[in-house]
Amino acid sequence: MFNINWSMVVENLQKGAIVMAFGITGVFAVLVVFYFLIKVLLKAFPEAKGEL
Amino acid sequence: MENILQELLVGFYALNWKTFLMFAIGAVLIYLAVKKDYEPMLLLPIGFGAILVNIPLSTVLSFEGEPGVLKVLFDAGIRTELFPVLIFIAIGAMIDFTPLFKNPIMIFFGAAAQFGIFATMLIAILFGFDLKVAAAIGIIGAADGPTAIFVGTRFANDYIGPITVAAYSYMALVPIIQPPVVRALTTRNERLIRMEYTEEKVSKAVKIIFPITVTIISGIVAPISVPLVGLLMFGNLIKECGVLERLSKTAQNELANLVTILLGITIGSTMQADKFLRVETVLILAAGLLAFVFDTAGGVLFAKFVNLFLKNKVNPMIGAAGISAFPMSARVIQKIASKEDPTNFILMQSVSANVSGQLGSIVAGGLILALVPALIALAL
Repeated sequence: MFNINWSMVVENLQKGAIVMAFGITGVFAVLVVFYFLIKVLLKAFPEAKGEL
Repeated sequence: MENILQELLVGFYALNWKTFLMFAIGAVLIYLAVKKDYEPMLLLPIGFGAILVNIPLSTVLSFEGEPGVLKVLFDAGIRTELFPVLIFIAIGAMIDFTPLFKNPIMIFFGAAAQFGIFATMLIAILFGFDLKVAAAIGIIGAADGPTAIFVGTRFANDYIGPITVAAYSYMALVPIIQPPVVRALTTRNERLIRMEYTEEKVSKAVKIIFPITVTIISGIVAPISVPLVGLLMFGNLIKECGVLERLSKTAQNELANLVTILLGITIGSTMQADKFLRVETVLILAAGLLAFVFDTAGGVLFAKFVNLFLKNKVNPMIGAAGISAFPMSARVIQKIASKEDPTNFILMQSVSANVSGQLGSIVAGGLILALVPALIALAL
């Protein structure tokens, strides 16, 4: 553990930064889709119409 | 004669300081569960499992060459990811997305508060962990036990014990971790911001179509996340469809209770002294704490950023409720708001953000599962 291979750490950091960038963007993107999904569903099935 | 004595006292001969330290750690977890009421459903079985597995010879893991009962449970329930996935059905049956439908804008706080997962992953890399293990440590910040176990099983089997203990312990400590971070990042005036709440009715059709559509969308975006999202939404569909009340109750009670018992004690069985008593465990516990701090900070700072563009400002404390620890985080935020102004009521908005956090955490878990192996395969 304490024999840290710094070149490996740097490589992992680079990959980690990419995971972070895509990860945060991805979570926001998916939740944006869910946001619009909720909006569309609420519009398409207002309470009176939506009772099955 | 000496051999017979040795055979009879084999348990005593195998004792060492590590055994007693692990007994003490198990006892502390049981104490926290019983006396402090910190996630007792999980911390008590984990604590007892930690004691069981460190009793000399660990016969619960193997005996005379045959796998012991906890090893069988581990292989059947954790290695196969069956237990966390079953827990997802139970959680799905307990989640009520109605507060989110009434306040859909809050969904973005559920995304911002996942920041801790990724920031902690980078810190874990700096500690010397490889990318997969670092990602599994980061997922502690999902504030969602089953997701932490699910990702941990895939990426960091050797560290599943400390990762799970950290995830559940810090979830229980949300009322202690979040308030100082929230106060440090907000002014009193910001904490006093009032938010309007409009009560909108939500139709049954929306509640039924939502889990099905979310499963399909998540599955297309990150197919690897289907066991996570799909089973959570399956549980939710059982609850919302209105014709499976018995199944819904079973998922919420019998299934949740049964799997929780087995999950807890099996996770405890990973806490063997040789695996648990190492520097890495301390680093994982420290990183886990940072994950919760970063989650809270990410949510609050995002809310402050959003306020730059809004006419009707949101109370930035709502951002901190975007973590998955439900409903604890929402309650904590309301408590801070009430302390500043007893007539300020932001619980419903906090609950909406909190429910979004439950969605955000599994989406983040799914994305981590998809992204990390892809990046590892990629030569930079």
